[in-house]
Amino acid sequence: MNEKYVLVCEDSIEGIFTGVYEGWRYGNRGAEVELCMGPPGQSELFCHYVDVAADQEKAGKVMRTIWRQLGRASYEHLCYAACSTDKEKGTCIYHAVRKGLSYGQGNPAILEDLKDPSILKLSKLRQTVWHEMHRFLGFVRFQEIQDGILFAVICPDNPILPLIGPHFEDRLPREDWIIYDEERRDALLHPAGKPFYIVRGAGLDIERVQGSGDKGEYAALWKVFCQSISVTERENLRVQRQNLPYKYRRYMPEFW
Amino acid sequence: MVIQEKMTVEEKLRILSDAAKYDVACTSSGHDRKGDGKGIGNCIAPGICHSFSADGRCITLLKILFTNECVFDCKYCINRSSNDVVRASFTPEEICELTIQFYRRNYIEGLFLSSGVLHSPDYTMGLLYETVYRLRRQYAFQGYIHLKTIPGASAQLIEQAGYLADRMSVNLEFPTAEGLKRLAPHKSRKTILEPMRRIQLKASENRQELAVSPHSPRFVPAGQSTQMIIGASGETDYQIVSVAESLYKKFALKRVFYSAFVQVNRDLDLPAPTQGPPLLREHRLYQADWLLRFYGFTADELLSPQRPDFNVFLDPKCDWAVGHLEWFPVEINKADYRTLLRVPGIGEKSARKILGARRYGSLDFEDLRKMGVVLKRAVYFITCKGKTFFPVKMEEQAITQSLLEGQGRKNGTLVQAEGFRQLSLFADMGVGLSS
Repeated sequence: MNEKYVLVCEDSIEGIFTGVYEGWRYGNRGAEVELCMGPPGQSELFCHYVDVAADQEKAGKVMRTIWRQLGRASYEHLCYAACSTDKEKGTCIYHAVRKGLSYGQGNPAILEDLKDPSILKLSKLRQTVWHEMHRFLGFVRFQEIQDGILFAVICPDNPILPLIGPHFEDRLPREDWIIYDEERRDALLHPAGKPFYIVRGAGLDIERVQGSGDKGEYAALWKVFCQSISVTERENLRVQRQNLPYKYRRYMPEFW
Repeated sequence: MVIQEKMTVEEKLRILSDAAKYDVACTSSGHDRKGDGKGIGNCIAPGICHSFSADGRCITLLKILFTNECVFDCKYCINRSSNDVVRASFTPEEICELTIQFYRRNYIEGLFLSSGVLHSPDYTMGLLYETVYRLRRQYAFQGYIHLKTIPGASAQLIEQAGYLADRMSVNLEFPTAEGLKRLAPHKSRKTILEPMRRIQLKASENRQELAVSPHSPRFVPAGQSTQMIIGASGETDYQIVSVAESLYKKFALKRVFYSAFVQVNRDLDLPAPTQGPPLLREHRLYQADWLLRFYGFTADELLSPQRPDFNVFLDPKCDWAVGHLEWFPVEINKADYRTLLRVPGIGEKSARKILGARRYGSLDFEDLRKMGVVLKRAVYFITCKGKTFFPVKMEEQAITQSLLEGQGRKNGTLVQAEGFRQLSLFADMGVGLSS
C-alpha cells in the first residue's frame, strides 16, 4: 500500500496553493496526497498528518506555474473552485495540477478531462461559485451612510468577497465603499481612488452602521420603479422566485 | 387631459416606468468596457441582472420614457394620443440624477431611455440626446446606455446619439408592412428601416476606423436590436421567424425581441380580448431565435408556408429532430460540433464539453449525464460507442410519443398556466403529426 499524507491547510486560495507546493515532494515519492481544509475531524490510521501554514511565497510559485503552464483560463477556474465550501476541493485541485503538469509540458486543456472525477468535481464547484459570484454582482445593494460612504451587507454561501472586489473597484473607483459578509464577518473595504482590501473577522455592528445612513429616498424610488415596471398580465411569481430566491431578498430594499 | 403642475419625481417615475414596461429589451450585454478610473461605471459583456420583478423578468436597466406625451396614435399603445392617461415628462437633469444615484447603490446596470413623440420626432430625439450627453460628459457615466431611436428623427441626430449610447434600437413593431400600416398609422416601414440601415452602415464604418486608430470614439459598440409584437396583427410564426432571420442577416442586428401582445386598448383593429398574452408562443419564438443565432438553423428548416406555426407541445428543436430522423442517430464520440448542436438536449455548453472530454477517452451515457446533457431528450438521437441507450424505434410517431411522456407533467402545468386548455391534446397532436 502507498503511503498517505494528509496536509492540513488554511481554507483560502493561498492556503490551498501552499498545500499543493508542500504536497509535491510527497507525491514525487509516489505517496498519496490529500489536502484537508482546517483541522481534520477524525484521524485516519496509517497516514501522516502534516500541518501547513499558508505561505505567500510558496503559494505564489504554484500560482505562477499554473498560470504559465496551464494557462490563464485554468488558473481562474481553479481559483473559483478554491473559493467553494466543499471539503475535497484542495485534494481535487492538487490532483488536477499534478495531472496537468504530468505531460512534460503543461497541458492547458487538462480541465476539459471531465471523465476524471476530480476534474468533473472542480468543474461543478467552479460553476457553483461563478454563478453565485455573478448573482452578487447584481444583488449587492449599497446604502449611503455617513460621509457618503456606501455600505452593503451580503450573506453568500461561498466566500466570494475576493472575487467580486475587482468588479466593484473598476465600477466605483471614486467612491468609498464597504461590502460586509455577514456570515464570515469579513469586510471588503475600498477607499476612493485606492485598491480594495479585505479585513478578515471585521465583525461590524451592522445596525449601528446602517443607523447612521441616509433616509432611503432612493431606496423608496427604487421600490416604486420595481413595482411599476412589472406587467400585471404576465405575473409569474414562480419564475421570480427561481431567479431571485427569498434568501437574497432580505438585503434588497425593493423587497422591504 | 389632466394638467398637473409640479409633479414629484416619484410620481413621474411611477408613470414613466409604467409606460415603458412593454418594451422587452432589458439586457446590458454585448460588450466589455473597463472604467477609466475617473468617472463612474463599466460594462461587462455577459450583462448583469440586478433584480426580478413580479412578472419574472429581469431588471437590469432603469427603463423609462422621457415623456409619455405622444403625437402618434398607434392603436396597440397605451400612450396613443387619443388615450386619456396622465401625462408626464422628465427633465434631462432628473434622469441623470436618478441614473447616477441608482447606479451608485448598485440597483441598475445603466439607463434604457425611450420616449413618446413630443411635438416632433426631431424635437424628441434632441431631448434624448441632450440627456445622454449630459450623463456621459457632465457625470462621466461609463455604464450601459440603451437608447431608442425615434422613428422619423433626422439622420444627423441619430448619428450623434450613437456615439454616446452602447446600444440603439428602433422597434419594427410588426413583421408585416400591412400590420404596421393598420395598427401604427403614423409609422411606416421606411421610417423604421431607414435609421436601422443607417446605424448598421455607420457601425461598420466605425469598425474600420477603429481598426486603424483603436482609440477613436466607438459607435453603438453593443450593436442594435429591435422588437416585434406577437399576436396583434394576425401574423404567423413563419413570417415572424423569417423576418427575424433577414434582420440578423441583412441588418446585422444583435438581438430581435418578441413581445407577447398585452391588450391595453380596445380597438376594432385589434384582436378580441383573449385570456391573456400569448406567452407560450413568445417562448417558442425565443427558442427558435436561439436556434437561428447560435445553432446554425435557418427559418426554412424550422417552418414552412405549409406548416406556419410552432408545435405547442414540442420545442422547435425537438420538433425539427423528429421530422428529420435521417440525421440521426449521431455518434457522440465522432460527430463534429455543428452536428452535436442539432441534437435535442445538447446545447452549446455541453457540445463544447463533449468535444473537450472525448479527447481523453470515449464517452458513455453516464459521462454525458454528469456533464449536463439532458438525456431525457437526447437518448433518442444519439449513440455512444455505437450503441443506443435502449432499443429505439427510429420512427417519428414513436419518438414524439416518448418525448411527450417524458415531459408530460411539465407541459401539463405550462399548458394550464397559459390558457391553452381549450386545445384538445389528441386533435392537436393529430395535426402536428400528419404534417
